[in-house]
Amino acid sequence: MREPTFLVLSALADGPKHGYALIAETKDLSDGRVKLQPGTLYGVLDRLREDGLVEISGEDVVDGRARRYYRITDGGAATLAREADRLAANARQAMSKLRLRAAQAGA
Amino acid sequence: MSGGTSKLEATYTRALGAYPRRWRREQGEELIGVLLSVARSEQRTTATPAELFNLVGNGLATRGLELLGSVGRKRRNGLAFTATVLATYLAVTLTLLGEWGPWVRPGTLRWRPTGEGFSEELMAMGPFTTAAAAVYLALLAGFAATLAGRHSLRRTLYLSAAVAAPLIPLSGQVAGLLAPSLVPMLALSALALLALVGNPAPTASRRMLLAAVTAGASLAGLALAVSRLTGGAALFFYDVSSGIAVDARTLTTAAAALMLTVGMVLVSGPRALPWTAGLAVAAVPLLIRLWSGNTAELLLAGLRLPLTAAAHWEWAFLVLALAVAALASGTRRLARARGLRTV
Repeated sequence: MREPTFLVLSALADGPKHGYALIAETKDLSDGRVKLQPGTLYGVLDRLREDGLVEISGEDVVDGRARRYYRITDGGAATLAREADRLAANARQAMSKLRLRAAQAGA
Repeated sequence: MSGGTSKLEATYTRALGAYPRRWRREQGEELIGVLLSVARSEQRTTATPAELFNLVGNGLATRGLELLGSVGRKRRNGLAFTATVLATYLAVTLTLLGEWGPWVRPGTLRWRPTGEGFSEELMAMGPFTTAAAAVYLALLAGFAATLAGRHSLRRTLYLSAAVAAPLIPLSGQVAGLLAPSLVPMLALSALALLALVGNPAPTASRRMLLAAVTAGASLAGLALAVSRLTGGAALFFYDVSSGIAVDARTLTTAAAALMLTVGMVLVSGPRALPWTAGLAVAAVPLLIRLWSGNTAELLLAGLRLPLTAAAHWEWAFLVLALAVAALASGTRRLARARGLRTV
C-alpha cells in the first residue's frame, strides 16, 4: 500500500471527512511531510471506492457547492489494520537491528 | 465571489478539462471546492504550476483508467497475456541475436552488429553489445516475477523497461555509442505497458499456460530467426536502414502487428467483433510475411500450386475474412430479429 493511501485510510479511521479535511489531516498525520495535492487525493479516493474500502457517507452544500463526506468501510478498516500490523512488525525488526548495532559499537 | 477567486476558479475549471466528462459531472464541483479551499488557506489567488500539472496528470490517468474499465477484466487479462508472451519472446531473441550470442561478440564473430560508422570500441557495455540489454533483462525479470506472482515487482520491472526503452536510442546518440533505433524500442515500451493492463496469470493453471506459450513462442521465434540468418555474410542487427530479413526492426514490427491484431479483437464489442475478427484474418498474410520473410512463399512454391495461386494467396484470406465477417454479422442480425418476433 502506498503512503498516500495509507494516510487517507488512517485519516478516515476515526470518522467521516470531506476532501479538504482529508488534506489537512494527512498533513498532520505525517508531521507535515506529505502534502497531498487535491488531484492526487481524488485519485486515491476513486481507487479506494472502487476497491470497496471507502464509501460516500453524506453530502452538504457549502458556498453553493456540493461537499461530500467519505467514510471507511469494514473492509477498509481490516485492510488498514493489516497494513499497520505489517509496518509495525517491520519497524520492530528495524529497531531491534539498530539496537544490536549500537550494542556492537559500544562493546 | 471576488474577481481573484472567479479567475482562479476559471483556471481550475480549464485544468479539469483533462478529466472525463462523466467524472467532471459527478465530482468536478467538489474538487474545485477543495482546490479553492486550499488556495484560500495558503492565501493564494493564482494556481501553482505543480497543482495544475497534478490536475492534468491525474485527469489523463482517470481517462486512461475509464477507457480500460470499459474493457472487461477477462479481456484485459487476455491483452496482458499476449503482451507478456510477445515482450518475453522479443527480450529472449533480441538478447541472443543482438546482444549476447557468440555471433555478435568481437573476436568470435561470424556475424557482427558493427556496421558502417561504428567500430567495436563503441560497444562499451561489458558482456553486452548495447545498453538495451538492460531493458531486455528487465523484461525477462518481469516475466519471472509474473510467474512467481510478485505483482508489485512485476509492475516496477515492466514500468522501468517501458520508461528506459525509448531513452536508450536517445542516450546512444548523445554519447555516440551503438544503440538500437527508436522504433523497436518504442514497440517494446508499448508491449511492457500493455502487459500491465491486466493480470496475465491470475491462477496457477494460467501461470502454467503462460510459461508454456512463452517458452514455445520464444523457442520457435528464435529458431526461425537463426535459421533465416544462416549463411548471412554480415549482420548489423540494429541498423535502421538494414536490408536484411531479420533484425531488431523487423522482429519488433512483426510482434507489434500481432499485438495490434489480437488487441483489436479483444477490445471489440459484440457488434464490431465479426468485422474486427474478419480484419484479423485478413491481416494473417501480412503477419506471416513480417514474421517469416519469404519463407511462406518458398513453401507455397514447393507445393507446386498454380503460379497465380502462389503469387496471390493473400487475396484468398481477404475474401475468406470478409465472407466470415458478413456471415457472422448477418447471423447475429437474424437471431436478433427472430428474438424480437418471439417477444
